[in-house]
Amino acid sequence: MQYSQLSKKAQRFINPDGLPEQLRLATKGHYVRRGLALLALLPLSASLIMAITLDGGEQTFYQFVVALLLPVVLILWALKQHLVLDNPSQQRFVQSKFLGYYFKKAYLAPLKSTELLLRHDSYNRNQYELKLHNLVYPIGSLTDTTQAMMFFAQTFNLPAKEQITQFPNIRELDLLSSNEQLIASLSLNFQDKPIAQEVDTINTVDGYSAQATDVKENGNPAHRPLSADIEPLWSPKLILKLFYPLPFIMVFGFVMKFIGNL
Amino acid sequence: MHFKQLSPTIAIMTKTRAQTIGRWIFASLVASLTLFNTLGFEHWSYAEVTIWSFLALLSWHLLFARRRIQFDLERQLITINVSSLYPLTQQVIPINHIAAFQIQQRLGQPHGYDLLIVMDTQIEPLKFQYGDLHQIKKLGQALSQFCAIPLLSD
Repeated sequence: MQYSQLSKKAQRFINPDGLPEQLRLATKGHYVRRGLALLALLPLSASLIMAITLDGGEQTFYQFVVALLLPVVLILWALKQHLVLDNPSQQRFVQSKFLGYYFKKAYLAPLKSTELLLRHDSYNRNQYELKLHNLVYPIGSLTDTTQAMMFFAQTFNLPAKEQITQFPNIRELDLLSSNEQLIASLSLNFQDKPIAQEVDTINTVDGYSAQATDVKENGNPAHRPLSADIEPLWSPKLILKLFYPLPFIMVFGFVMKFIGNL
Repeated sequence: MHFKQLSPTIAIMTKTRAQTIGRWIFASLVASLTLFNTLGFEHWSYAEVTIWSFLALLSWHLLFARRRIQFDLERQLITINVSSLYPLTQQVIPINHIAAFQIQQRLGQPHGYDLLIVMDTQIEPLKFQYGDLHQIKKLGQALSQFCAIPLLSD
């Protein structure tokens, strides 16, 4: 599996610098710093305009603000932090970089101990994500995610695991088989058929009747039709329900006012 | 809210005594202040009484709103009821279709964690409880032990 064969979305997550010896993956802290730098750009640009257009004491004030914010933004932007997978030394570590200067390696660990896990997306179980040590890449389709996993596994000789076929249980994957076989085995066992179909099979197996009426009507919630999704507890139309006592309270208020006026 | 087992097959979620008493004192203080206001209504205009009724609605929910959660292994159901003297909403989750409980960090909140219920019949996991990591871990372990369902955490 080569880097160029990866899907567009996977390539957006994974930076190819340093291949094939090492891979530098941006850590969460890296993205947080980038976000803070972007946020700080807002007051910076505003005060930059002020520093140019105003004059007198106000101009000096905004020049001070620019002088204060500019280095902060530059440092936040230039300070990079990567999780490095290094093939020659067989190690994994976190390293910061500032304008070409490399800081000390931290969190050193053997490369082999890196966790590589293919699993469902935590917000949408029809999508897939790849977990590498503590980084999570929500790539999307099963094929693309499996390809990204194979890329990591083959480049760095990592053990790959999956959490799809027997859901909460984690299973080791056989990497010797070809890509297509692997994807086929993953999708055959569980996925690619929509979850709605699974519900049908569950219904027939457990003997739930499709005509089973609502919970309140037959009084036995265990026989509710499962094909109906369980709705999230808080739906938008619930806000209306919160106002049900309002008319009564209003009438009470007006009655109290009427009594007071007597 | 913490987990409390009542019998081998039934468990509920309860608040600590301090939480219950604290909320009760605060809510009844607000409610009695709201009621006390009504004595001066002869000097108020109708618009002011209308605005008062919205505040009174708030104190109503502060006083009466509650969430009851029951775990029943015999009927294999988790029932969540939200009510405020009248029923607001209900969620019934069949335990035998729960694939796993999952602890997950909430996006953009470094100390906020969600306890999710992952169903094998549905695409989106259900949100169950929110709190800090220690709290959620304790609750998740208690739940997974009681229902005999695995607990996942990142």
